[in-house]
Amino acid sequence: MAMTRAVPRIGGDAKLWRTRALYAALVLGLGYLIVLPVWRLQSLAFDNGAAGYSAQFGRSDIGETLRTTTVLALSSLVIAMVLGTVLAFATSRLPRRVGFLRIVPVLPIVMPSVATVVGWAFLLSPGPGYLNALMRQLPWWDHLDTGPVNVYSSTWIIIITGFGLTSFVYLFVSAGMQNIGSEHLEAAQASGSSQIGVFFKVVLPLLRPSLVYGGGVALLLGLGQFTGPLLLGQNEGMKVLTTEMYRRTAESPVNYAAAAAAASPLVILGLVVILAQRLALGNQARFVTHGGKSFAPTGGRSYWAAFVVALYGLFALVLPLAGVVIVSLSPFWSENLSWDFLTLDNYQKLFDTPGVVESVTTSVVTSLAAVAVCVPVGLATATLVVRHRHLKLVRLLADVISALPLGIPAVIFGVGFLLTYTQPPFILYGTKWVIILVYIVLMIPFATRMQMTALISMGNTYDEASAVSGASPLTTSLRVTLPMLKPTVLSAVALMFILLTHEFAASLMVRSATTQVMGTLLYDQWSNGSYPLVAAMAILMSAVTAAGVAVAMIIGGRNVLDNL
Amino acid sequence: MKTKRLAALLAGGLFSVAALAGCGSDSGGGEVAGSWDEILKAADKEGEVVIYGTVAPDNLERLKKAFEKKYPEIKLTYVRGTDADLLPKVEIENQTGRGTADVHMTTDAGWIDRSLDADYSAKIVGPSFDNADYDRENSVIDDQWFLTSATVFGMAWNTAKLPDGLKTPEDLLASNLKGGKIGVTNPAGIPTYVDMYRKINVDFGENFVDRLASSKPRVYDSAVAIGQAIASGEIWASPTIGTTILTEKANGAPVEFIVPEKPFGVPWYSHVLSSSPHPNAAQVLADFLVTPEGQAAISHDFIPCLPNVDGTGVAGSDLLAQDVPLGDPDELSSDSVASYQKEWEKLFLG
Repeated sequence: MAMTRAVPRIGGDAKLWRTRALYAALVLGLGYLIVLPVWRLQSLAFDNGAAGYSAQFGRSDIGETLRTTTVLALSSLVIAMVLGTVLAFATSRLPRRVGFLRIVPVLPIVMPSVATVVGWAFLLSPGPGYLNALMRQLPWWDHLDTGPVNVYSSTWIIIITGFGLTSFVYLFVSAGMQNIGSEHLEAAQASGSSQIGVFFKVVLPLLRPSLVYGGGVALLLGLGQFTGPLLLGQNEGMKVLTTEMYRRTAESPVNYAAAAAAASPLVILGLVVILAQRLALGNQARFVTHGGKSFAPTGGRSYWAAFVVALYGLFALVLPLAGVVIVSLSPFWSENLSWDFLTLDNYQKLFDTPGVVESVTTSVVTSLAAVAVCVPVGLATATLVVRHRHLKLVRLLADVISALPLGIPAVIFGVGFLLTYTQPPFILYGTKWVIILVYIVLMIPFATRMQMTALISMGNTYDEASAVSGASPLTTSLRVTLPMLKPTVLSAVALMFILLTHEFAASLMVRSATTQVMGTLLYDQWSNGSYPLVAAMAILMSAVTAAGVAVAMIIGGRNVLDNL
Repeated sequence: MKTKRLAALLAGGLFSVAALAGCGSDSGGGEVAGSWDEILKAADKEGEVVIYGTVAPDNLERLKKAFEKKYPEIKLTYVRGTDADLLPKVEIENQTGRGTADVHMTTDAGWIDRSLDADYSAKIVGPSFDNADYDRENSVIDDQWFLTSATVFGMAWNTAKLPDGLKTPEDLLASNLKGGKIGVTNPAGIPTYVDMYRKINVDFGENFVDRLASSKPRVYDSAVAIGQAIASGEIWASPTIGTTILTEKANGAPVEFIVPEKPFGVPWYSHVLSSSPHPNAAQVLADFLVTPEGQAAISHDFIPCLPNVDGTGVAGSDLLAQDVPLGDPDELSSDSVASYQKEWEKLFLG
């Protein structure tokens, strides 16, 4: 390759320029979709002598809002990092007989975050929360008429947020852990290192990229948390920057400038974290762990690991789901449960409710459309970043732009898209297209990063071996690269479908009254309607996602979620 | 080669999305037909009508059933939300010319007043507005906004938690209700609640709102959510509207509602939107809203704008929506509302 570039031929030059032009078009397209809405929003905050900043940062409660945003992000990050790492370690030590528990830490991702949040509200609301009602039977709490837990307090919002972020940290850390070849551990042990020594001297350093990446992602997700503070926090007046943005767009007239100003700290922090991650990881080739021989994930037979994973599954999945199921079978939410009360009427009523069926269709269609675009775009971007080091500027831009939606909260893209697509030249308000576009933007980092990780892990050795054996680049690509990427692509499709059918924050901004997705309709029912319908809707959302995962498993095999 | 294929695939993907995105349908409506008969025919042809409203969802469902029974060719879709949800949508639809809603109901006196100077509404043309019982002179503003219903705020409670019930607003301030057992609606984005808090601060007892805040009540986004919270026992009582409570009572929930001596009342006004994509069906729905069948649906357990409609009104009273005055727009200007909302937040959430 180096020779080709060092001694350019006329045909080779033309090819190179064509490649450059095509990748430049890719970067321009990404820039239009990802950067422009955020840029327009931010420049609006500076209009009229920075009136947006005066409106938002002149509020008497802005200090409290900033403090709450920071505390929520950092505290939930700590919870997620500890739990995520412990779970990743535990799943690598699971006895073979209970190996199926490996799926447990990922399952909370399948459950929509809005469903989890309302599930916890049904369990731990200070009055009728089912777990609170049970705890009030205990002798030391039997004098209480509410509590003892208040799910609407900031402490519990932090805990629930931390639980929600744990699966994401787990994904990154466990991926890193599985890629550590046993030869590293055996070499360390053969050199006299203890188990703990191996963990700290070999495992943790090799996990650095995963920890840095997972921690960075969890921090940004924590800063951009919206669902928990919006659904639970309003009860006691909890305000974070994202809910403030939402409130500014629910004013009459909509105050885009103030919403943009509220977004500014998050945009800046997002950029800083993305750049810091790039610096911290440095040369990604150092983390190629596919060795020439004996690559095998580590295993174990520790029953404590099974207990830890099962306990997490109980709290992160079973309990909130149980809360939702019980309420969905009740005529109204009440701490006084009775078998006589249980009814399926809410499900009947749900399908009679205007917009429910349409919201399911809209969610599925827009998610599939976005995924269909994201996979090839992500692959092209990943190939550019990993395999075209000579296109320095274009490669750098593609790398940074494709990472932006991971660093900038979805709610900001939602407001940016609302602003951009309610004005010429493309007025898309009220159509599914604006939802598809914002979904594409939100998923680009996942499509790109997952395929990029696979390309990096593969290294160049497979390509080179194929070339040495006489295969052309096309044959190598079709017979070596793509088959090796297939599990990653299927996992990426499954992950993106799951995340999009749950999407709430950006959808809430760009939806119109009659073009709704499942999450936004659930929110409308939460704030305007009936709790039993909210519960039934949450079950429906989970069922749609589960159906999507089932399809992914049929196509990609049972291990499709493992590959996440 | 691989590069080219990937890039071509990508460019194809991006451009097809851009092309698709460019073809969003234009939902701009047509013209209103000439005579009422022609409007009815044109409405049948349009076949659809959308209403945005802040009334109880059950009343909108009743409206849908009653309207589709009378006009089987026209499908009614309703969207229920608070003013904070709906007013920005109405404004965006007006700004973009891509209307979704045909008819819009609100209680926001300030917004109604401001909209008169803007191009938000079409003139109403239905024959039912001239019905003598409707009292057009006192019910229609500038041939655009028409009185549709009204409600009163009283006191609601969970009968399992408070078996002795409530008799006066002062009972809401009892010590056993302190610490999160009362529910209040956040007036953010909803000027009607600003008006309500200002009025009950006097009518429910001196400095009632200030004293209520010291009970540390829980805050909700809408009266409907409060109705659910009382039914579930999450909160025990609230100064709120009766309709949602009566709906929960009909579902078997342990709840009750009474109207105090000096209730706060608020009327709903509706208008046909100028951005309406179904302008004829919109006129038919507007007209239907002020007929006895329309009132039986939209004003069920509310105060009607026509006399003698079964299932409507306050028990033991012949109060009509025309007797409930609209708020003073000067007191509900954007600045005045924003200033009160800040004050309220400090009081209740500070």
